[in-house]
Amino acid sequence: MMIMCADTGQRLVFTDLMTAGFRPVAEPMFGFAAEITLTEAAGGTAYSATARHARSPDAARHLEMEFHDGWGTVADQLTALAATLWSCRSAARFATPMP
Amino acid sequence: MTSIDLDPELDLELVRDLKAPRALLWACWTDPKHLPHWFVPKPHKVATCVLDVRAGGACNTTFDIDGTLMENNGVYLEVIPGEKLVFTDTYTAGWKPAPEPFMTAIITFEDLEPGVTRYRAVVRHRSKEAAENHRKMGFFDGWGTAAGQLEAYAQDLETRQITISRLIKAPPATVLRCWTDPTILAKWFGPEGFSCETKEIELREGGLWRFDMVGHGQTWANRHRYLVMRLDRIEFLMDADAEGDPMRVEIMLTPEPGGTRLTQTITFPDASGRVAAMGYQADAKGLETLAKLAAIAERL
Repeated sequence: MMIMCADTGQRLVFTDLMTAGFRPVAEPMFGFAAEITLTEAAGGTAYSATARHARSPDAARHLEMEFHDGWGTVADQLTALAATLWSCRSAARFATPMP
Repeated sequence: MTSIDLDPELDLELVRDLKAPRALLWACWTDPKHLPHWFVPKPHKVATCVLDVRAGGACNTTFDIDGTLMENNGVYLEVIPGEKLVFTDTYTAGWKPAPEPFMTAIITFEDLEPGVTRYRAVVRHRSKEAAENHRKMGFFDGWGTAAGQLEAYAQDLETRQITISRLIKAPPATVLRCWTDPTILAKWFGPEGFSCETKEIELREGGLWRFDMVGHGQTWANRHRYLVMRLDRIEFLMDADAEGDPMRVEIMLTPEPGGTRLTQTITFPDASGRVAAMGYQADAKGLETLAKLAAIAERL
């Protein structure tokens, strides 16, 4: 996989069509470019993940391979992990004078 | 210069030392005014060209090969100004995957000595077969011919251009205001000892400024036609308010510690225009004008 764009705190674009150093992949597993966006929302963050494909059969295959279930579970795990970091960070902020 | 790994079975590489300055070669690659002049082996042509030179931006060209149009749509993946350009047809603008990707190109530019640039193109493919096909289609011949045309075009451009640069101790927005506010522009435009008498002024993209430049007992008619007026770039056509080929003026505004770097390039229709302008020291006169601009911008 390769990260194509990283706008700190806002957006991440990555792909399985290439690997690091801009090397095209002959047989990508899904053949997608995914865009994750993070937007501040009341009580948390609006998290959106879009996986784009070259052809509709590729998208259909990704769906059959449980895209929603898989990426949904991952989003839940992300939320749980972030919650633990959030409380650590809050404590650290409390203890350390802000710059 | 970062190293680029090569896979001899998947990649094709062309390296040339071109007798042209790096900044000019970069402009030839990234400016849609320049790229069509050299990008495909003549007599074939580039019919259309859209270059949105930033990661994820469109890199679209259409070739006219003996009357048959061939579309090449892709995106830039990495842009390091003056040094490195990566583009691919694996995606189109907005990182939408394309059905039949063919290649990914990594172009680098490196100073060898003044006026000589090491130009390197690494083209990656998905499979051995794709690389082999590209080689058989005449990769080395095609990219080699284009590199020769690039060098010749850049050299010609060099004989038609004058570039000057100055750091202005003010933010880009303030420098831009000096170009777009009609009460300010006429106060500084022109070298020492000259003043501007406005006949018509509309400072916006698509607008113009007609004025007489008066100084040393003489009057010169002037016309600017503004094409681009943005925070990072101003571009206009400049002539004597008469028929004939205008000069093209491009101003780049780049934030720098302590202010804004203003780089101004004037492109003449032909080399004799540049020779004539250097005869009256257009570069020194241009720097006088920029000093007047700086004096005003730094007080705003």
